[in-house]
Amino acid sequence: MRSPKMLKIVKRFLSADKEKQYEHTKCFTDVLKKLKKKENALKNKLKHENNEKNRKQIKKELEIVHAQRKKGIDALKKLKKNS
Amino acid sequence: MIKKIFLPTILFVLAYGFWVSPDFKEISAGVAVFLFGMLFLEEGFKAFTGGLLEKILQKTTNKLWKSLSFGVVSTTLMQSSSLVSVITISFLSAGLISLAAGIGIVFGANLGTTTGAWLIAGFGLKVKISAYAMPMLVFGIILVFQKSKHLKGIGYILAGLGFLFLGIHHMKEGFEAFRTTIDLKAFSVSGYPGLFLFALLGVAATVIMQSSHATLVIIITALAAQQITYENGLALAIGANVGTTITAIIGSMSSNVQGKRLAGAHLIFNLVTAVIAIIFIYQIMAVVDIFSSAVGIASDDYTLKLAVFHTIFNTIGILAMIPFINQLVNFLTRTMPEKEVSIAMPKFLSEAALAIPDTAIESVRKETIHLYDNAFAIIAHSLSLHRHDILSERDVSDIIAGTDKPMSIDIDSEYSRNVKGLYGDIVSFISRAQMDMTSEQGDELFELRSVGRDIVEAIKDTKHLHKNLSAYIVSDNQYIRDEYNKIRTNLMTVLRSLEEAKSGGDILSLDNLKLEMKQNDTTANGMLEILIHEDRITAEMATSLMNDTSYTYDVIKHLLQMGEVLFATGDLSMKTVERSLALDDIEMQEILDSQQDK
Repeated sequence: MRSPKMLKIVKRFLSADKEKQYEHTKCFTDVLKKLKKKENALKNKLKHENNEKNRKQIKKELEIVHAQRKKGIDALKKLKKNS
Repeated sequence: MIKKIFLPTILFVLAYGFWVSPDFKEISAGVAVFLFGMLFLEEGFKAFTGGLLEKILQKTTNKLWKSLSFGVVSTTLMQSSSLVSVITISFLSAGLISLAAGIGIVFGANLGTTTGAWLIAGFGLKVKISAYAMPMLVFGIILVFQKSKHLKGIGYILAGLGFLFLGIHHMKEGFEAFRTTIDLKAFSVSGYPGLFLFALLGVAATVIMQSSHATLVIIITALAAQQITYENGLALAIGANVGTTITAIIGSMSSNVQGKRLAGAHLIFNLVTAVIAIIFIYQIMAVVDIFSSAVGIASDDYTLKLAVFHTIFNTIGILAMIPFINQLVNFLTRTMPEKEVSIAMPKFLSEAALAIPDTAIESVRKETIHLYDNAFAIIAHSLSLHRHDILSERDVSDIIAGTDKPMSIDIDSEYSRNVKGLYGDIVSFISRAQMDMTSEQGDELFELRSVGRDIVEAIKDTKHLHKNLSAYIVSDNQYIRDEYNKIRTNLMTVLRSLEEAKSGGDILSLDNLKLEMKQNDTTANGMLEILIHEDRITAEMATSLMNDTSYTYDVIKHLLQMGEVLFATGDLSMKTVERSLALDDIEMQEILDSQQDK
């Protein structure tokens, strides 16, 4: 393992606060990945849906997922800025 | 009575021994320092148990070979099969692992514990161990005073190892000096009588000291000082293996039936291993001699040969028992059946679960889900709906149309019987669990306590709307009937969505419901005005509907709040992050406004 990477890991390990931040950052990344996957699945579903009522419902769900992702991305940016 | 005289007796015997023999004093002090080191080691490893251990346990115990390996590795690292047993019983009590997985871990722990004998015989006796002990103690204690939880943990582990080594040093010195005053070998007994006697002594010593490691250290140091014969030493080791189950048995007393089953499995396994070892002891000794000469262990190095014997007979035990794990699980399940308890009794709140913060939190979560299940039944029947219909795939409107007769339910009685007591037990458990937790863990428990309150509020609000709902779903007025069926439809949709979130762990999907609820709230009153204006419903019906729409809104709000907390899965960090992404009222309104603009 290269020294800067190792140093980063050791620094993180020794600093409890930094470790918590790293954990949170990782969690945000994982959740955002899940939401992106969900968004893509909904977009795909919308493409193949002809029923107007169902299309409206899927569009609402897409808006929600999009809003959640935006919230997560903003929070992640703030975390990275502070670390 | 026995408990009351046991401790003073032990203290008296020890005091007499110290007065009579300074060498005995050194050996006893060595044992005490060794046991103190084990306590420090346990404390050290606890610092690393939060979250990480749960993740590892859940990922590494879905197959037998994984749980066996986990048992071997964790016991080797922590040098304490007792700690591994306590952790396993705690996780089993909280329903985090299965009984078969727990048995696999215990089997593995038995093998892992043999590394202790190797460490002591191979390293502890061959070097000037106190030279290693002192710097470990110094650095360890310095780290113990650090703020960082991990540094503190490492400090405890280092200092624990230092005390372990120091204990071994004093026992070694003590037995060497003892040789000049008393020759314990004069009390040796050969043959099978000796085997049984010394095996029993090994059991007794381990039960008293609650540590097979401590017994093994005494055996090995006594063997090294030629105070006991090789054969008697082997018998003591076999006895120590059985005696070590006492920790699991004591630990299981405060656990639920699963924990007791695991303790039973531990005892059965160790007894079977001991019986095999005693019956075939001479054959195993021959195998030990062959193995020892193959790896270069001297024929008169009885301490290392004892370590080889310890490993071989435990391995034989595992190989003998592995094919019968399922039969063992069935036997234990049959002989220790789950007591039939009413749905009002807690299922997951046990003393064993309190041992580790993560298992305490998981127990509270599972018990609160149990509370929700009881509340679900009350809410469903209050809406004149069957639980199985709500959980089915059938169309909501078909179910509403098909259940047009009100169901009789005494909500107060159901609440008192199936909710109130259980909620009280959860709150009481939470207050006890909060003692030894980090702030994040404490916050999680606080959230779960709020969930209990949400569930109770949801039932109370349902009770308020139940009376009118039961009357108006059979009303001659089609409009009021339709409005109250809309209320039933809304609540049924919420209950269904909550079940999906519960099984899928996707709490963010609940935001869809929140949006719909907000939308319905804005339109519902519009419909009400039309109905009043066009004289479709009476004034009395209108006021009832207004109040009951408000109660419905509150029920849904409480249930969604509950769902966001209760059905989140993963570790604490993941739960906190997911909940933080749930949209608040302002964000919901922005979406509604953007939809209206379109």
